[in-house]
Amino acid sequence: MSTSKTAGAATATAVAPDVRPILSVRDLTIDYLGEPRQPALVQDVSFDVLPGRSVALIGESGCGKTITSLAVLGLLPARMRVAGGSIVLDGVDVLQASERTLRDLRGRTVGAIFQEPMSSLNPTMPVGDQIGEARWLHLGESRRAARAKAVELLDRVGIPNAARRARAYPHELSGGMQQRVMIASAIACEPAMLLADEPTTALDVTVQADILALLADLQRDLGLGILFVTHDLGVVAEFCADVVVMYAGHVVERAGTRALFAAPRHPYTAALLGAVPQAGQARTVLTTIPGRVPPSGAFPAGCRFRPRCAHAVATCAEPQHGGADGDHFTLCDRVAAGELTPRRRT
Amino acid sequence: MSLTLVVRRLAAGLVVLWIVSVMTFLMVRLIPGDPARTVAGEQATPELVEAVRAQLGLDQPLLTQYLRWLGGVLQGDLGMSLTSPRPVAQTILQAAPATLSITLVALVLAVVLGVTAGVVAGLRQGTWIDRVVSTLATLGIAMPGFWVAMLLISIFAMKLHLLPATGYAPFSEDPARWLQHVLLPGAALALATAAQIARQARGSVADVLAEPYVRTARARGASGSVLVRRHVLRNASIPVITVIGLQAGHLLGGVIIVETVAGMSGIGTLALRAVLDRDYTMIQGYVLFAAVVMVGINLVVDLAYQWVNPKVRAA
Ligand SMILES: Nc1ncnc2c1ncn2[C@@H]1O[C@H](COP(=O)(O)OP(=O)(O)O)[C@@H](O)[C@H]1O
Ligand SMILES: [Mg+2]
Repeated sequence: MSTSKTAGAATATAVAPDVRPILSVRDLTIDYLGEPRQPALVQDVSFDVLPGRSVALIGESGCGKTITSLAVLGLLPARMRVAGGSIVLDGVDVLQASERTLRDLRGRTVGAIFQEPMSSLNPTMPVGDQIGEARWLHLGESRRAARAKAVELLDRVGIPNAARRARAYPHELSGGMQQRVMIASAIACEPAMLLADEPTTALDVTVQADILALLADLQRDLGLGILFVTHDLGVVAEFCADVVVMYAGHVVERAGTRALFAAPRHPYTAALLGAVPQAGQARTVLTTIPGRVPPSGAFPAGCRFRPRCAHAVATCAEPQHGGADGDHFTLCDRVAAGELTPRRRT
Repeated sequence: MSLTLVVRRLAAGLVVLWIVSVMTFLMVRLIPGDPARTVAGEQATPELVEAVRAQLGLDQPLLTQYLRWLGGVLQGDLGMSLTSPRPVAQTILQAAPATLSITLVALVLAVVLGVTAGVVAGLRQGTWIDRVVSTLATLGIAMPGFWVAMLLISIFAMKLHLLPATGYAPFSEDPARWLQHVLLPGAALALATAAQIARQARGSVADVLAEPYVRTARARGASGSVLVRRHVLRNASIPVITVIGLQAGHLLGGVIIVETVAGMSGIGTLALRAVLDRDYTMIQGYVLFAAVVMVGINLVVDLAYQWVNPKVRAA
């Protein structure tokens, strides 16, 4: 098993040092103990999310973005174990916290929205009850008060006829409406942070823009720190101050958005950016980088991007340490040593 | 749930019953063997057979026969038994309580035991309790109901003398004795059904636990009984209700043997004798009775299904 070590303390965020991150992930390593085993399915992942700011987590499907965000909630799937590192959420060490403490954090300190709004909502419960649930769970509100608040929240996320819609079931709403319901449920207790795992991927392009505008609006209102898992580089550019690029469980690059788009340092990032389709096409990544992300259980040693990398040499099979240029971190040793300067493909 | 929906289901049930009535009617007319001859007896002269045929109305056109027969059925007149001088309807109504008691007790036991065991196993997948439940479920499905009935009776009635071995006491006369009589056959009949329900419940709970909406609920802080009650059980119950509906039909079939083993003269015994004696009117009565019970069960299951599943409710 490879043991690459990222510069743990270096984060991409260049802000006043007295702003305390709402979420701080350091050297997070997760093993998968199922079949086939994949030690370090996620390895040495580090990043900070500051209040009121958005961090993008990007990378192709299967790179460990969802697993990383679930770890923040303390909701790893079966047979996934945290093997090292730390996650500090609003001052609480998530990895050491009791189940009780975690339960109090979920929905109260951090809200979460997921990719498929339809399957992420309980099909047998009116949406208003789902939105209000966090209120009575965390704030001790009566069910009745929570229900009234749910109507307010539905109104807040831009659903017309909120009082009537609160009694609707998920299947009676459109995809965009369902995602608004998810958002309303995630912000019900005015959390400090939001985990958004590909919140617009499953939606129509026109609806995507509305949902993003809503999230931006809520972020401003509530001062939400957002961890934004996305495939959509357009969203990253518009919405996020910082970017964390993951490949097969590694953070291969981490930087301020502008710096990363201007001069990507890791060959994977360069390929990703080169793969952005032109205007008019759906702005999703993938398809144009040859090859694919290795399945869990088959991650290569050393640089995991090596088999697909045009610049790979023998030393890439060694554990990578990378290096930071100011706040701009890359995992590639060749780039860190100045041997290689990836160019965005055009 | 709207009233129109109940009415619509009820109407659908009536249509089914009507189709069954046509089929039972035709069955008796088309089956090999001559009812008139059966009634008249083997040694009867052709003249006597014809006289009986006329008396039974069997010489009339089929439609006339059907309408006359249906008119009687609707007034609760299922005709006379062909082999004994008793009205079919009255005979069936006398035998029904014992059979329905066992079936009902079995259904309640099966649902309570099956759902409880299945849900617990589903919530504790991979633990010893899960393994115990699935082993018992496999056993329960593999063991024939009549054998379980014999086993239970020989243990609890013959050896331990805790419960009566045979017979039946009407609920209206003595509820305690009624329960003593129906408990063993009910439990024997329930076992296989409880096992099927437990399997389905375990599977459904396991499936629902893996659903994204359960993750969503956890992500907002739901856990423990709130999670199970509000998010798991209701969703998991949808396929379980379907299985319960199907199993109810099996119970009605299985009760025939179990009540025989338990020495009760119920509907099953009646039906069996009617078949052996070619007592066509009695068979007709039994089929109609079973159809009414099944349609009733399906109606209840259907309504329960729609009550828990809002997606069907709208349709
Ligand atoms: N519940 C799970 N059990 C086992 N492996 C999983 C599970 N969920 C995800 N994985 C594996 O973990 C890796 C990372 O997955 P994921 O975090 O979902 O990727 P992403 O969100 O970046 O698309 C993939 O190889 C995926 O197959
Ligand atoms: Mg994902």
